[in-house]
Amino acid sequence: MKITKTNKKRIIKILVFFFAITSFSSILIYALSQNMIYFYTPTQVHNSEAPIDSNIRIGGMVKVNSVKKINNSLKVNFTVHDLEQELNVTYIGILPDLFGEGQGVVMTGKLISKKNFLAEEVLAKHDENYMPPEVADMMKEKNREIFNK
Amino acid sequence: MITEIGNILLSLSAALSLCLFSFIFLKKVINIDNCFQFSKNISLIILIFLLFSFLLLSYAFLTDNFSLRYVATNSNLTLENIYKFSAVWGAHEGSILLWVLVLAFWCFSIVLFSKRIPKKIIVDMHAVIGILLFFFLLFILLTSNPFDRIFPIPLNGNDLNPLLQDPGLIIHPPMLYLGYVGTSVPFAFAVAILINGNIKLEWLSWLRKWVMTSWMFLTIGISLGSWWAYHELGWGGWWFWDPVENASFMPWLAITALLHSIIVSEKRGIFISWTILLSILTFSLSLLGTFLVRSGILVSVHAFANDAERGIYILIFLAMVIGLSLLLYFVRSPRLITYSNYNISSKEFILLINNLFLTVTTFAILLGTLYPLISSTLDLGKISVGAPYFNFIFSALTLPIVFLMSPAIFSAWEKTNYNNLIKKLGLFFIFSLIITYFFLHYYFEVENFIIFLAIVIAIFTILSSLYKLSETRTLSANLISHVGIGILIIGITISNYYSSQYEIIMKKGANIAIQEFQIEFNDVKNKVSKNYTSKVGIFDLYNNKDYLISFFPEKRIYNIQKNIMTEAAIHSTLTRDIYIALGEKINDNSWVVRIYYKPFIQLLWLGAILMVLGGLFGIFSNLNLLKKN
Repeated sequence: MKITKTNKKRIIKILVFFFAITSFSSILIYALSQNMIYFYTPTQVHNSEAPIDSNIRIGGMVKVNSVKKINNSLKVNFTVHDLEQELNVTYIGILPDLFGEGQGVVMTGKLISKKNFLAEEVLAKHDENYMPPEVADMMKEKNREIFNK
Repeated sequence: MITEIGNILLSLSAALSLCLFSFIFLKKVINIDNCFQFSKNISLIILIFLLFSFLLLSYAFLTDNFSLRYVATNSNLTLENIYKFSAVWGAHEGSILLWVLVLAFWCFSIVLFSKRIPKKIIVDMHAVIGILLFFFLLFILLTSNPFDRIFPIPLNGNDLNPLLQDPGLIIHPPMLYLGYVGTSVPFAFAVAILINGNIKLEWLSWLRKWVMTSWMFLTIGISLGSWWAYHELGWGGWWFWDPVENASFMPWLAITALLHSIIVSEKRGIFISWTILLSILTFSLSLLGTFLVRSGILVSVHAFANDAERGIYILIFLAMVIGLSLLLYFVRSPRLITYSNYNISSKEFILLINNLFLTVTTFAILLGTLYPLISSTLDLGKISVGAPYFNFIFSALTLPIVFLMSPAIFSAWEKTNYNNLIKKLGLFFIFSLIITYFFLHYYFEVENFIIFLAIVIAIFTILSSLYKLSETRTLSANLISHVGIGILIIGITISNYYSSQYEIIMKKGANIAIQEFQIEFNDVKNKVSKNYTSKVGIFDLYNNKDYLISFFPEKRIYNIQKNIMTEAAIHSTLTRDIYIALGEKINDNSWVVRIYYKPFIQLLWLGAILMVLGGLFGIFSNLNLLKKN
């Protein structure tokens, strides 16, 4: 087959689009895989299901009377729990307005050890009857498990 | 009484919407002129009914009628009147009512400017919007009726969410909805074209005006949302890649692509099939946005509703609309005559690349937004996609789009000589390199290649658009908007990369030096307002001992819901913002304070304003064109 001018143009067009689509999709998949953050409960952390020292999210309830502010610094320690297991959290910074003991939080950060979590970001629920869905689901499941026992 | 009247109005509107839909069949039996007249009148009556029901609800809010559950949960005797009015669309039920009202408004408006469009197309468009109206009204009546009663009637209401008690939030939802719902017009047009099987290029210039209108309102809505987040959330940020923000951003990207592809179709008669598909996709993304926001499946500032029934209703509706319209597209679009003859060196090719990039960006954001939902539904684990993903994708895909703006402006349709283009623009590019180098060097150190590149491209776009303006001596929508985008990108890049943040404990009387300024923490005073009490910090700003201005950031506690809110205090000039927010109280003498220094963030709002002005200009210059013809 003789390659005519129009055919040549068509081939170039197809090649350009093919190249564009493959490079786009590989960029997307790479970027997505690099930035996925998994969610774990304190029980999963206790069972060693969560990786140490990589970015993860933890959800739970802030244990009553566990919030301790370190004098003259922005450092704060508290404990989160999911009715079964507990996890100690350290955070340096300003806690959100809606943060409080006995309420749900979702945090992003890294596990330093199986017992200690260093939070980089703390999100608290947004209004009185609203809880982060992850925490709400988690608590529902835990309640059911405990009830079945 | 209000409940009865409201329900009657909504039910009648639903019935009339079905009538509107029926003309798609009736037009085969009844004379088309009569059909058109009926359809026009019915759409007007629906608009009046819905407007009346909306006003009725507003009246209920303003008169504190707590016998309505919706009013009781979202208002309060002490709420200021302006917020009582904006509370009408402050939560789920009312905002869906506003959605429907806006849909009815666009439906009727189509007729007003439809002289150049055949009547049967308008009747079909009305039919499409009619069926949308019907399902949304059914949705309101079945699952989210704002006129539902509550018993016993409470003495006082539960108050409006304090986050929403802000001037930015009064107009943000209506503007956003005008844009969101405005995409139903190109959607209805696309469906009508597919049903009728033929299209004339002159209809596309009519459609472009609608696309432009919707684009402009979306731009206003999204910018206002960001502006509100910056002022109200107290974190100093204006965009968080929150799924709900993405939900409004995806239709914006799609409609921007549509705006460009429609111009190519109109001028050259190519990409028509793509323009039609894009119209369908844009509206589908708007509906998806509504689903994401209204189903309560997201962790977000916006997700107040948490009702599975509503989510499922919208999901089924969404699947139906997208499924049916795509089916129609694949069956009928081959019938549309379209030419696909274009040259690689031409304006249409550059615009094609623009569309490719915009589509991929939209898809990338869609992927990042939906992936966590899909993964948790399929039990693959609870995942969230971090902001770095979106930032990376966005800068990698947006910079080429912006870079292509200048060649697109200077190239010609059909055949362009790229060598001449490079010669002409190369000079501008070198010029932009020099400006950027000195600009970044003067204000900051040049540190990052991507930052440098982004500024070069932005300045390149601004310079070449301005040069084009001086060459042609006529303003045009694209030049104004492109300059706006350039300015916006400079604002985003510099304020993100060079801003500094301080979280410190300050004692009364203490000083902190930030850049060339000193900030002194004076005192904290108590303030009592109608529906909240607050602690007001007093900070003085000095520039080398010269007093400039005082800041009054607040920590508010709203009386009813006991919510704590941070009100930041911001001082802006064109070259920088200083942003102070109160953290928590340590003791009587010291507070945790959060201070941001954000250079050139005002350019962001300036850029957005220019884009909106560009849109306005485009709409009105089009109107003039209509009159001449």
